[in-house]
Amino acid sequence: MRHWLTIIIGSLALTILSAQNFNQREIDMPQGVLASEIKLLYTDNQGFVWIAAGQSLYRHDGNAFKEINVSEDMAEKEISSLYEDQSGQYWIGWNTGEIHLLKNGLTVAYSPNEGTPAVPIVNWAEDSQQQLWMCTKGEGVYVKNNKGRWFNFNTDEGFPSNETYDIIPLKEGVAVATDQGLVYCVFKDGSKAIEVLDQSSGLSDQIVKDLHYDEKGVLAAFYEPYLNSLSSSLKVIDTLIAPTSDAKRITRSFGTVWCLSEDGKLFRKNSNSGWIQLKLDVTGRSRIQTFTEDHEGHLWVLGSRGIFMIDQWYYHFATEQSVTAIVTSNDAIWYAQVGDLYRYDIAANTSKKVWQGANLILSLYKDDWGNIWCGTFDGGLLRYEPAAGSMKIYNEESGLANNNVLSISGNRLGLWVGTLGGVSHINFEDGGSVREINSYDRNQGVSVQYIYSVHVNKSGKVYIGTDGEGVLSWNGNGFEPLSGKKQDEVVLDVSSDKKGNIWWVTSGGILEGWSAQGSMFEVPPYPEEPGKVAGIETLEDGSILVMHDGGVHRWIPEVKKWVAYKKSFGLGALQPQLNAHATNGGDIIYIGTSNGITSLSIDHLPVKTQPKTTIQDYRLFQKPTTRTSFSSDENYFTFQYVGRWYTEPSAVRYKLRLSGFDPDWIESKDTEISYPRLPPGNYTFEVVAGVDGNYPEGEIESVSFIIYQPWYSRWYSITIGVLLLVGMVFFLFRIRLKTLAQKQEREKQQVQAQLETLKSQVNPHFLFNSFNTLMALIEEDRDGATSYLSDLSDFFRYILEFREVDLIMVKEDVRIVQTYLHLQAKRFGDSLMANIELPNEVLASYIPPLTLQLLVENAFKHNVISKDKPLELEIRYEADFIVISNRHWAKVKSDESTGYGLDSIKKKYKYYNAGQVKVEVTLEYFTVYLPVIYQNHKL
Amino acid sequence: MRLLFVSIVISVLSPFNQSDFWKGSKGSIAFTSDAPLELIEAESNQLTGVLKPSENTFAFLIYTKTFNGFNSPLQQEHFHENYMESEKYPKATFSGKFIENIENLKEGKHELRAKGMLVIHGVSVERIIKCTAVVSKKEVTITSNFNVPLEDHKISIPQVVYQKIAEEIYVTVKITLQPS
Repeated sequence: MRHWLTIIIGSLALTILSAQNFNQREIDMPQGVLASEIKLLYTDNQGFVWIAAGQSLYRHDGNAFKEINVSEDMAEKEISSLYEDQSGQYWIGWNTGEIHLLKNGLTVAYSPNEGTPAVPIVNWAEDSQQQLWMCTKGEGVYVKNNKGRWFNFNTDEGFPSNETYDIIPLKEGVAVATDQGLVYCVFKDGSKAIEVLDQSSGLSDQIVKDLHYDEKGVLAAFYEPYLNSLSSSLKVIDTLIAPTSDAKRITRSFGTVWCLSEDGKLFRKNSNSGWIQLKLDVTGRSRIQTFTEDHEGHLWVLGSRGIFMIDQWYYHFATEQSVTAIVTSNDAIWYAQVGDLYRYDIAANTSKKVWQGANLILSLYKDDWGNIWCGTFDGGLLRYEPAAGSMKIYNEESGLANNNVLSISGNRLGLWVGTLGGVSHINFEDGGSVREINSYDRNQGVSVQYIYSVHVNKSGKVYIGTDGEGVLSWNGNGFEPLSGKKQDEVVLDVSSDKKGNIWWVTSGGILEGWSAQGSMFEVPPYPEEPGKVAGIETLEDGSILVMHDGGVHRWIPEVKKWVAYKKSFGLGALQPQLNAHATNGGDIIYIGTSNGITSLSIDHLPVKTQPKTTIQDYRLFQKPTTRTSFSSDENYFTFQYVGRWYTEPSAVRYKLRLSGFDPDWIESKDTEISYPRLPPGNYTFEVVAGVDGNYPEGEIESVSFIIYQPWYSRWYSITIGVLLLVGMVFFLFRIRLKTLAQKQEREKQQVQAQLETLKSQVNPHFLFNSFNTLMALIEEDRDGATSYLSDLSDFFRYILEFREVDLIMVKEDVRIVQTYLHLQAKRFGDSLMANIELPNEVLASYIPPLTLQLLVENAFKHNVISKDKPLELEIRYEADFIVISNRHWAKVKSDESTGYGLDSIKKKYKYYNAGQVKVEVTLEYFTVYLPVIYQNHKL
Repeated sequence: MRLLFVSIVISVLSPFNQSDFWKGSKGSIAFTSDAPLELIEAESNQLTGVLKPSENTFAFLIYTKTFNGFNSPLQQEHFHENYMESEKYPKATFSGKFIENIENLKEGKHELRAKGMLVIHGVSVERIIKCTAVVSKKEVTITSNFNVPLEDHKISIPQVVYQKIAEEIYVTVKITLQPS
């Protein structure tokens, strides 16, 4: 366990001097842009950092600057101001008075009816009524009301000057810095109110160069080297001496005031420190043009050689040797280098050696009377009285447990001292002088020899960190284990927080805690292996800093999370010295390191080390789009996103997914992802940037969009399609039904016709007559009778043969008629004069069977047939018609007629679509015109 | 010494130094109301104006009764009686100061912004109105066009004629002023 001693001694080696006071990183400039061309640095509401160089505008996206295209030719002109209003609209002011807006990544000229100024636009502000103000160099101030109309404030309204330098919003109205005073302007309901403040109002100077406004009030910087702190109602509260005359810019963040002079010098001042100049190089000759602050607490400084990002939380005061012990007082930091005691004056930023000693100083303590106690290696305990400059020694001879003093802690009543030979308790008199020294060692009170750390908390309880027995607490008579149970840890540093919880760190670097309620805290291991641990410090917010070689780890018990501040915070090579750390009781921690004192401004250290995610671009087929709905063939999407984490851009990773496509998150280092050939659907692209595997849920950025189904698969198309199909089926079905019905009707007719024909043929009269004729013939003319009978049988055979046929050739029908006429001729003899004359092509045409026979039979039925009135029957061809004509001798009482015959013929012809059957009745002739059917349409 | 010379040259070059006052009385002013249902145009050439370059000030005046050219005599009557109330408010004025310095304007064309109070219908409204000034040795001609929202001047339009009168009246002005 002796090795800890070796480490203490060993770390006293000389180290190289560092001139770097601030932690700074150079930012890569846009290609082709020189630092000297840049006139403007601006941080927008989302934390993007912008620069303007001449007529070019660039935005830093977290990785690099990207150029914004200026829409018009603005050659020879310069961007003089940039502002993002609360609605996210960017306003670009030019040195020639023009105004541009930023739209879809392009700057577009803005031309109000009132015209634009003819002088440079210096700055912008937005008041509580969302009225936009701009101040100009020569035309005073303009304000745009909520109707979009511009109004002017200048000397006509009582402005002391039209030359303005800056404008800031106040709770109501704005404050304007001019070269003739500070002007308070309010524009409400079209009426103007102004109030001019100058030296008679308590201002330090009439030339007000710059203004800053925050929750603490207003800061004004002047031409003369003063700063005024004003209330939000512009009452002068305080006057400070500025570090320089002719201020150019003033700002305040986290209690640090930054002041830039026209001649390029930038200074900062903390609540209890003096002005410290920020030098971008060792000589400090690099002129600083302007600066801006990002959302992570970095200051972006434009120097004559480039843009540098400065960590506001970090300041390093370099020393020649290791700082082995450190303690703070109101206005100074006391620190030890080897055996020498130094006093660093915070306000003056200078250091002075107050005592030169022979023994290494390993611990320092300031008592309530201002005396500085130094614990030395082998030299006992020294008390330095600053007023007298004298040193008093307490050692083993005075009753001290051991001459090697590693740690001192205490209060108004006395000191507790940890040594390499036990613990000593020094009791004070009321005036601070030493009354007595009680020591506790292995013989009495404390079981461990080496005590590395002593801590007296606010209520006076005493804890010690031991070599091998963990943390012990004082019970009035001796030291006992915290939990009543013996531990076997080597504890390097012990501390306590506001709530009375005890925290300590072991030689292995493990942070452990013991709650005020009496139980162990569970602290998970560090997110990554820390370097060699040098001590812990408890913070106002309850978190605990563990200082180690590679930086600082911060344990935040409230959220049970570790936050690491390492290289990107300027703490990559911190090399803190064992137990050499102190706070100013506020927000600053001073750490003694191997090459000086590093101070960390805790309020500036980000608690959340997380990037801010922005979806920069959302492209369809590589072309930016703002649409959210797309057709089915618009299916190639690309997303560009960035996590702005200026602290350590290379550590940024992304977690992303496209829900609707893939529900699983994927991790990526890329800042772009493409989804080709997305099927139709609803999608949400989500991305969040993170560092060290922490992806804050609340910071997820998303964009939702929809790809529609192609027209043929959308619900209404489908519905229409189905309806159409149903309609068509229905329609076809109906046609089919109709056809079937027609067919049925036709068949019925046919059957009817056949029946009729049969009926007519088996007409008893016909048979009777035929048989009579036959009987007569049998006697007179046997051969004739035989032929008659043969004809009769032929006739009936034809009827039977053709009754089920649709169409037959005309010549066949003619044969039937001829047979029929043959039969009838026997009966009527000369009274029948039939003439059939049809051309061959008509004979080869078609006709419904028995049509001619039916018509001829009708002629027999309806006419008187006698020698005087013979039946003159003619079947001939006449212009596409078969004409059946007979001389009309109507019977007085016709044979019973069903009227069916002719009707049925007409229907048949209609059915065959063969044309109209015409019937012509004159006094003399009854004529039927049958259209010729040339083609046999088989249905 | 050089400064003195320069200023002498400027004062010689600038016609505006001839006289303290520049006056014009036969200026023309016309307005157009382009409403969905009716286009109304009227004009007057009785516009008077005064410039005082040494003070950067200007003043223009028109008697509203002098407007003519309406679509009908009835319309003209309504214009005077119902809207402008010409008996009660006979004058419309615009006076104030130029934002640009006009004291040493050289010969040629200049874009100027006149900032002042526009008084119509007895209601004054602050306006910045862009205009063009053409300066020659003997005279200066100022032309301008601008909109006058009726609401600004509390000129209320009955609902019945709402479709016939535009909410903003477009005004064009041309006036030539001579030193006096």
